[in-house]
Amino acid sequence: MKMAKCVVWDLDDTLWRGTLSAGDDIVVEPQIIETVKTLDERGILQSIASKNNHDDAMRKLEEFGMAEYFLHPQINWNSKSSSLTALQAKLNIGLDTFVFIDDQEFERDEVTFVHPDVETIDAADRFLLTTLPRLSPAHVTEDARRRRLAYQEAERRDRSELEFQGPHDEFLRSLGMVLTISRAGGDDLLRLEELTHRTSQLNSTGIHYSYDELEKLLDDPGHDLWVCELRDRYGSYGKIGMALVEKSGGQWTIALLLMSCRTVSKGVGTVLLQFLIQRAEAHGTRLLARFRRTDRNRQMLLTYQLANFHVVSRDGADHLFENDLSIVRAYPDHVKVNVDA
Amino acid sequence: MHDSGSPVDAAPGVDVRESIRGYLRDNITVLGDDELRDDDNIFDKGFVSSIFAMQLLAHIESTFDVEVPDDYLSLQRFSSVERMTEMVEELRKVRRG
Repeated sequence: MKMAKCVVWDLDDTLWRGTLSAGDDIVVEPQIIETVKTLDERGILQSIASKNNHDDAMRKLEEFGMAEYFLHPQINWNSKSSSLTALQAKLNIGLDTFVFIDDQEFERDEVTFVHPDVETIDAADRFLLTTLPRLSPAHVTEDARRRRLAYQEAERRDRSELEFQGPHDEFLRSLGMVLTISRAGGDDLLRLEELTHRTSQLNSTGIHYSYDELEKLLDDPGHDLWVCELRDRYGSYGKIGMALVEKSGGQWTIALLLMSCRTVSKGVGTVLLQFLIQRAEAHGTRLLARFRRTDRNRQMLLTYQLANFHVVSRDGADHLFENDLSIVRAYPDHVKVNVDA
Repeated sequence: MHDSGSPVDAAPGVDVRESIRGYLRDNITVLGDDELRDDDNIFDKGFVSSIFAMQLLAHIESTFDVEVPDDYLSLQRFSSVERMTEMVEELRKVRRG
């Protein structure tokens, strides 16, 4: 079972009772408001696919105080499958992580026909949504709880980037980014477990770590577990990167390095690696790194090799890198780096 | 631009160099008004972020119709206009067989 990431609601006779364009008295059942809030708190994103007049429907949602819960509402006269296509592109999550709820069989079938990976649910079962296993994550991290807010902040950021006249790095400078690197604590472990599962592009091995494994590493003097958080003037991106370093004798080996794809365009992908290079140099230890090539992590390979890591040995997809520490660079000037070691 | 008779293929040395130099100049503003020489190390001159490196790689691969293999993704090969030009020419020779 793959966990769902987004619930897409129809409006008439699904999210609310009544047909807006027919001039009905529109009512939202209290349990529906509860359902929307509960899913939101679980870190499940929500949106809308409704055939309605956009402005009228949005005004109604505002009236009910519900508009803020929905990302990129698709309220238009196009097919629902095309609304799902648009949402998939905007949210950048797999179609197999969407759940679509609608009272009309025709609409559910149309979506299934075009997107067989989308799970469809009859509005008659609307009160059961919060009991579905795919919508009931075992753990809810702080990052999950504020996931919708993070998407909304990202949207504002993207808008101001579009409006920004000038080169990209000047825009990055204007964001006032602060990256804080610290040792992981017990309350970071859920998020770190989640990061190892959700991150594929900027991930040095693609190996998943469980909560229990991470908890053991946290207390192990032979390992350093680093976590980093990124903030800018729009808010926090949350905990977006981690590094696991094995320490033995006079050498450190980076067993895992990853950065969330949320930050890929922010030019901070190299900072954590630069931090480890600077630290190894200051401690006078050798610095090695394990790297496993996957079909997704070319950017991480590029990041390592441009940071002057060289292949020492190789076994199929598994590489061992070493950095001779002859080149130690300063952090990029568009991000302020705080280290809390 | 993929046909063998296209301008890029006809005069490899000049156009590859010109194109890479232009791309760097347009995208690294820290260079300011400094002259960018073909043998300047771009990593020393201005910060090259991981995302910029990816964009540069995509530019090189699409403009010159080459695929840069994993073991070519090194600091040495990407360090300057000169080195990147050499790399592209080497990869095109391989492609032609």
